[in-house]
Amino acid sequence: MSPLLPPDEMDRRDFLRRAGLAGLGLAAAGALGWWAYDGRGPLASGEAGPQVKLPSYAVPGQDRKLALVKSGHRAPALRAGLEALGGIKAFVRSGDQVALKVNAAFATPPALGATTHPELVTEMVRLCLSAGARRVVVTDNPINDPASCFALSGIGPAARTAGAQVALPSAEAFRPTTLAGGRLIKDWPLLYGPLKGINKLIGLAPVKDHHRSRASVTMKNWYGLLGGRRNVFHQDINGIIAELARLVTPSLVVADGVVSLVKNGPTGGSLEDLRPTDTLILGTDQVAVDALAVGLLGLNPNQVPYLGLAAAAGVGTLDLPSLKPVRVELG
Amino acid sequence: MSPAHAQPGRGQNLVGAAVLLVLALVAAGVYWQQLQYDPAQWGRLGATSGQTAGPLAAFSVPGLSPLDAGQSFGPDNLSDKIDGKAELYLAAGFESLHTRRYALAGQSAAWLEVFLYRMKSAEAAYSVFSSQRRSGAEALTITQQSYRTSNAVYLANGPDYLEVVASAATPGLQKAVLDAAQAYAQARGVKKTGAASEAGLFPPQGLQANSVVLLSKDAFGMAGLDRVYIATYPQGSQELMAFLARRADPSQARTAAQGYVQFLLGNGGQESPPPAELPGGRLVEIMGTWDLVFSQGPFLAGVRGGEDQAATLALARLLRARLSEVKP
Repeated sequence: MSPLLPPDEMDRRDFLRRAGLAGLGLAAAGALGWWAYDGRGPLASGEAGPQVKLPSYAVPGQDRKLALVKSGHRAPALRAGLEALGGIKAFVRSGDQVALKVNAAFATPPALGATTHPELVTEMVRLCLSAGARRVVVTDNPINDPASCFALSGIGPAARTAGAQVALPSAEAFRPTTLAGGRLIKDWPLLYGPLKGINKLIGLAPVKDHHRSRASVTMKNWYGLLGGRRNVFHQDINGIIAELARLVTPSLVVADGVVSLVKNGPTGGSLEDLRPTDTLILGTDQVAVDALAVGLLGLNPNQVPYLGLAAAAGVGTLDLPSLKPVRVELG
Repeated sequence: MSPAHAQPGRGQNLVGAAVLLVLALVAAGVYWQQLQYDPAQWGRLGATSGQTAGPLAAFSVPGLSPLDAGQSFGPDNLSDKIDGKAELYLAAGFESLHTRRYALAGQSAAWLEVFLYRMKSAEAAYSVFSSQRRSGAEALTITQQSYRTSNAVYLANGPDYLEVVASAATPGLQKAVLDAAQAYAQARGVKKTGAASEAGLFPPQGLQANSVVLLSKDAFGMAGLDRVYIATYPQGSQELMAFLARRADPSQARTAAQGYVQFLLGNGGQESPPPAELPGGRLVEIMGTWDLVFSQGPFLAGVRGGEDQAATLALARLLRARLSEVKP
């Protein structure tokens, strides 16, 4: 066997040259790997398209608004609450394109209180259109089969009858998004299609007990904008809700506690899981709205960790008196 | 023969080692990145459930017509059906869920949905049954553990947990949910309840009916505190919670009791002098309420959440007396 490099043919300069070449080779291979690396990985179907970032849908001059209406009837409560905040025209102007993000998570009837009540959808669509909205879209990415969820919850028929479009999630409707500074929402599929061209976003959520997060209200409602295997986030449910609240800056949110699902949430099932709590809460501060709403479930805001996380992140405030909430009592 | 090899110099050794290190780092980087890739993340609409009713395929109830072919779910996609409540089932020991909708014959708007959960054991089924029990519901005799509410029937039967939920509380649907539950029991046969004998060890004095619940996992928020039975004792406008959990032997029960006390103390509890009438008991005040923790034979046990220290101790004495009667 002959030596690879006879010692008498290898001097210091030769060694350094060969070592340099080897290093360059390694660097080139690394650079090639870096250039070819696809951080998103292959897609399940179709093209994901470029990253999207949700704009702020907040209405200038309408921040820090909060109203609580005591009533057992959704439509008049919604009208009264909006009046207390300056009227629907304070939020929706002529020509606006409005998305209503409902909770249509389950294929269950409205009576079970697990989904946004169709009466609330009907009235909000009607009010938006009466304010001159050019288009109202009602959307969600439900847990169950979307068509069944929108049909059986009554949301689909209610929205269409009132004049809105219903946007069911399709594979093409999702785009990847990343929350700046986020820990969980990175390159994650977002239900973006129905929000294209939209300039006002309103969240309509029922007030519910939730097995993992204790409460599901307006901030948890944004969970329905996520696609993919989002159940992985259940392991950090408070973290994902707080990040969603950072991701989405709505024009207005409405928490429907006219009847609350106080036990065995988020699905419920028995009518005995419900309690009439005769309250509708509206506002532009998601944290404040949810902090008020969890009281309907017998909870203090400090018992719901995501409220503190979102407040600490600057999404909103837990100092409710600072918002000077308006209280309206309807007969 | 080859000429003698010169030994590499120190510089060569260092450069060689550096090259190997770089290669190892590149390999580790590639390995790490591929570990991060989750193909499921890009299944945009989530996992697809099986479009089959499984054991419900052949399930029929006179007067009811299937509205769909039914669906089946496993541990990986249970949350696609029940969202955040999936964790309750997974923690208890879940195997599969089969669902199907039915309507009253000729009335498609009057429908009900059957949820058949197959759990890993009768005890797991009892756990999810008991932890969701609706207070004040009417007990049934379809199985040993069954009840109905105004629009639904719930029952545990061996390793099965069944829910039959109607879309409304009309007389027709109320009868239909009952018929469906009875048809299930007839087809499946009535099995032994999953409630272990521990469930019968709570003192009967003042015990709220049907309040015994089995917490499968991480009871009271303490990781690892598993298989704990709890029972409610109303005290005026307040209520006390008694709890007990069987461990393998008295030594493990003592260790579990100490662990739970440490958990309370770690969460802001303050220990008070032990009560003379309960030797070995540990009394902790936490957030304005009293917890009394002790072990008795193979049982970790105690009373939680009492605002009245005397009432807490009184119930703890009763519980200890009951447990002391248990033969090894």
